Parts: sequence; structure tokens; C-alpha cells
Amino acid sequence: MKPFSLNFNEMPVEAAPTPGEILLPLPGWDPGKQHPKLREGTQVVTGEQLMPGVYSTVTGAVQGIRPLLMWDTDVTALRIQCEGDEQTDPGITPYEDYLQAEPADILEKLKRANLPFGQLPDTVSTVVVSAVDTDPLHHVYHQVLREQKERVLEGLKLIKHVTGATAVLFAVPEPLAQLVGGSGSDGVTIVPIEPVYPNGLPELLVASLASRFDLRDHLFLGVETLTAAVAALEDGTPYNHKIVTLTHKTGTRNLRVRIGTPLSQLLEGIEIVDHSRVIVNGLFKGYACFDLEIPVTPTLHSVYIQEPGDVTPDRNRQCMNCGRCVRACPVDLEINLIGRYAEFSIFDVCAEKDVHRCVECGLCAYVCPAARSLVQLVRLAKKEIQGEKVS
Amino acid sequence: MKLVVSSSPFGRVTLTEGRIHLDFIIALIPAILYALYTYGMLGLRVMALSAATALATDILLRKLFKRPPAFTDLSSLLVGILFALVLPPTVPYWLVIAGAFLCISLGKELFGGQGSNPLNPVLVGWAVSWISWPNYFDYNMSAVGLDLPFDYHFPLTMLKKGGTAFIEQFDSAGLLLGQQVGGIGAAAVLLLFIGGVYLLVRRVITWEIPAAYMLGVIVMALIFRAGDSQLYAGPIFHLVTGNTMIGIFFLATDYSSAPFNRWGKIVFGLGAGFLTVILRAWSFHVDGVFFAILIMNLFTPLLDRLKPKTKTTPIPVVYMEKA
Repeated sequence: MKPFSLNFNEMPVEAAPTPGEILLPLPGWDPGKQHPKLREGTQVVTGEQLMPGVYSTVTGAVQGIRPLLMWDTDVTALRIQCEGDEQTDPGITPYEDYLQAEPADILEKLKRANLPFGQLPDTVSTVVVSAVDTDPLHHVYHQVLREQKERVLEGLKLIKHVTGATAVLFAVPEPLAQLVGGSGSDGVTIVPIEPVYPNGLPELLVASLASRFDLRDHLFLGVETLTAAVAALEDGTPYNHKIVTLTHKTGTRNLRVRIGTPLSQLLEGIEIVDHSRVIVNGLFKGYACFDLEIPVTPTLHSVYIQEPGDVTPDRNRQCMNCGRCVRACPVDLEINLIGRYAEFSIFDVCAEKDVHRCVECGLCAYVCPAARSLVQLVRLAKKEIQGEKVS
Repeated sequence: MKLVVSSSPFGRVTLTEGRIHLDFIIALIPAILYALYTYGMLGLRVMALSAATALATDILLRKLFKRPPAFTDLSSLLVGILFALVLPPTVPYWLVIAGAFLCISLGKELFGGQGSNPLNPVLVGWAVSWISWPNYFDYNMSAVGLDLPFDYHFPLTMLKKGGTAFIEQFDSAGLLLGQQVGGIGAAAVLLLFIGGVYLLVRRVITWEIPAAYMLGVIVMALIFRAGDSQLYAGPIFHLVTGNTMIGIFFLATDYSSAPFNRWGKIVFGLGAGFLTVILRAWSFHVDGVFFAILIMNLFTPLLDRLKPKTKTTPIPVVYMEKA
């Protein structure tokens, strides 16, 4: 069963207007601590540090903080009103030649430029860079590769230098392999990937590459942050725009959106009728929004407004054992049985059947003629096995 | 603005259980037409009674068990039609009703309905009726008195009685085209094969069980024939007589009672094919198809263990970007 070909039509990135206000989630927010720059009325400029690990992505005035429920996590978010001409914090100085700089300095500078990079592991032998989009609704990575090919190739050298890895594997969708074909430099291997969902999912990509390469000490990143890192080091521009694929009934567009833009402002001018579904991050692994006060973050790749007529309710009829889910499963789970055992709260058998190996790609529920909520049942089983009582 | 919130994925195929069973019924239409053409009102009587009883049983039992009605998924209708197609034309009306009732009640609803039955419901109904009232199920001479363009002898009975010498009167092409007594629709071998190909093309069933079943029949028939060519018929004869074809495409492929993994299906099909010929050769039955499939149904939980190893990341992904 070949479920879903990814579409590689060119989709130029258009600039979205600067929003009137942004919402920045504040990880590690502690109400007991004083954060002078988070006081109401403080004027901030683009790229300015607001608290450790948090940088403004616009120029304007702080409006205070508010609680925000992002999917299943409670966070505290900062509101910033965008005002006046944009100024960029001069704190990020570009390098003459970053390949000569110390890796630790580069990483510090990248974090200072608001790139969402964490601490590097002690040893990295291989870096996997992916330009394969993770959902049929995402047109981000392949478009970045098309529009910024030179930067991508620079970035591959950069990431090798920063991590000290001996090999870089660059996963490219097959139809675009000729774009970068033969241009792999020292230690960079270009790996064409069949452009079919779910091949772009990191878990499956790493699993398929692990059979051919040594990935014991690997590091995985997407091609978009890679080009943003090159931009920060070459031009001193902080990372404050995210490419988002917006799909609704009139068509699909790629937008360059300010990080922090609430969906309500991104979708301004688009009529959303009652009983639509606003889906973030793809048809298969995304989330449905309950309101539009969700900000664009570095991990948000797409927004899809699903018309009421296209909403596909779960009917949750009895499993008829047709086996379509088993044939669709990319990791060969007995998902028909797992679904039934989870339905009747027999979670130890779910564990025996390797439910934790599920990557929640959603293909089983997609093909199910009984319209069962198989992914939901898998998540329930995983949580119950981890000891969280949810049912 | 009211938004719909739900869990992923946010797309679904439009295929439903009803559509799948409708496809099975569409695939049976040629055989149904054959039954009407060959047996006229007798055929119509059996099919209508069986289908109506199956549907009524489904509705009544669901009411009795206080479960939501499920007849709209057409699975009971399909069971009713399949049961009718394997009956001889002159079977008494009360037996059709009793059998169809047993198919749905004992075969299906008792276990929780479509998808939960460990054995093929059609064959459960058939087996219970056959054991209770064996005299009415003999295909041989079942059509005596009817004006039919072919022999009244059931080919497999003739084979059992006199070996290959007794089946010289039947030619394979005629048997293939349904020139034989047997189940009112099950005898239409070529039409059932066409229906089976339709199911394969529509991807309602997969190739493994039919292909392995045919291979099993051919291999076992060749082995027996090599042992004694006077006593045992060749593979073609086994494929075009009795209930082989309806078994291969419509009974062995029942979702619930067959394995769902590829190798499980292949072993299931091979086993059913072997047993069909073995039962025809050595057992008291003239046609071994139904018991072959029922026996293999019992092996299904075991065969489901022939699953491929779970694939996935041998090592967890280490992300450079923070979540």
C-alpha cells in the first residue's frame, strides 16, 4: 500500500505582514524571579535578550504576560506590541569565516541569534540533516532547498564543523536529488529518499539510514534551521521568521511568518466557518486548535483550515480484522490487536506487542474502514504503560 | 467561531465496512445470476429465504442483546447470500431458514458480531445443519426431476465411488462453465473466479490466501495422482468441481477468521488447499472444502504469530533543535 506521495511542486515563499502583536512562550518562567525586561511598557528591539534563552523577534513594547495552553502543555507567554521602525539588536556580530572559529563560540552565537539549539551531546559522529518534509501538507523543507541551495550546502559544512562529526548525511527527496547531486563536499553524503509519507518522519528516517550508516552517536536537524544558522553567522540576522505552509479551500501558500505571530493574525482575512478544523503541523501528526491564540513557533510547519465538509469524524465501529492497518504500518505493528486490547484496557498485552515502537504516523487510522481512533488508543496505551492513570 | 477539535490523523479514507461487503456482494452477482438462470424459482427461493433470514436474525439478536443495529454494514446479507449459494437447489425451506439463523446466531452474533467470529459464520451454520440433517445436503442427485442441461451426478461423488474411470464423462471446460450439480451458485466456477478477480482488483482481498489455496490444491492433487492415478483425480478437476472456487475467494478470505499477516495468510491458504484434497481423498466427505477451511480457521490465532519483526529506530533520535 503506497499511502501518500509528497508533492514537490514549487511553492514560492511569500512574506507575511508584520503582526500587530506577538506571543512568545517563556520556557523556564519563574514568577519568583525578577526579569526586568518583562515589565509592562519595556521597549525591546528585534533579537534582544528578554530572559535566559528568550529573545524578542520584533521591535515594540512589552504588554505583560498571560497563561497560554499550547496543545497539552500549560505555558506562560509574553505579549509584545509591535511598534515603530524595526531595529535589530547589534549583539550578533557576523564572522569573517566561521569555519575558522571555535565550535563552542559558534554554538553560543547561534543560541544568541535565537536558534532553537540545545546542548550538544558529548560525542557526535554523524549528523543527519533532513530536507524531506514530514507531512503531505508541509512544503517547507523542499522549498528551502530549492530557494537556498547555496546556504544549505554551506550549512552542511558548518554543522560538520560545529559538531565535530566525521560524516554528514543529507536526506533529500528523490525528485530534488539532482539539485544537489554531485555537490556533496568532504564527508557529506547525499541520500535520496523516496518521497512518500511517512518516510520524512525523523524516527523512520533515522531507522532506515541506520541500516546503512553508523548512527550510534547521531544528531538530527531540519534543513530550515540549518539555513537560518548560516544566515545568522554570515549576516548577523537573528532567527525570527518561520516558513509556514498555509492550506485552505482557496489553495496552498508558503508564508514567511514572524515567530510568535498568533494564528488569529496569520489567518486574518480568511473566513473560518463554524465547525471547521484548524489543524497545525499536518494531516497525519498534527494538532487541532481549539482557539487561534496559538503562536507560530520554530516547530510549526503548517496550518490547514479544514472545511466542515472535509472533517472526518471517528466512527469507532467494531474492528472487522480486515488487516488494512497492519499493511499500512511502517513499523509492522499488529495495530488491529493493539487497538482492541487498548480499547478493553488490557495494556500489558499492548506492551508485549511493542506499542512503544509506534511513531504515531496515523496511517492505520487513515486507512481504517471502521474509522477507529487507533492513534488515540495507541497514545492511551503508551501513557497507561508508563504508569500514568488516564482511563 | 466554533472549531472542531479531535485527535490526529485528520484525514480518512472514504471506504466503509458497508462498501467492502457491498463489493463482496457485487462479486457474487454473476454467481447469483447463474443460480437464477439454472434453477429459476427454486434458486430464487433459497437465496431470498436465506438472505431475509440472515438479515432478520441480525436485527432481532441485536435488539435482544441490546446492541446498536449493524445490519447496514451488509455483512449479514453477505453471509445469507453465501450460505444460499452453497446449498443444493432442492433443500427444504425450513432448512434454509434454520441454517441461515445458525450462521448469524452461532457463527457471528454469539461472539460479538462482525469481526469477532473465530470461525467463518457461513461454515458454522452449514456445519451444524449438515451434522443435524445430513440427508438434505447431498449434492449428488439433488436436482433429479429438474430439467437441466447436465448430468445429475455430483462429480466428486463419482470420483469417490469409482476413481478416475467414473469422471471421464465430465470435461473440464464444461465444469468450469458450471455444467455440474452442486451448490446453486457454487457450481459457477468461472463466474466465481471472475468475482474473485474483481475483489483482488478492488483490493478488498489480498492475493495471498487465494494464490496459496490454489497452489495447495494443485500440489496435493499432484502428489495423490503420482501415488495412484486410477484412484485420484488431477489438480484441474479439483479446482473446477464442488465448492473449491467459492471457498478460495469468498470463504477462506473472511477477514475475521483468517490470519492478517502475509505469511500467516500463505500458510493458511496452503493448509486449506492441502486439507481440501486430503479430505476429498481419504475422508468420508465427498467435498472437503468447508471442513478444510473450518480446520484452518482454528489455526488462525497460531498463524497470526507469524508476524514480521517490529521495525523501528534501533536508537532513539537525538534532535539538535529543542522541542
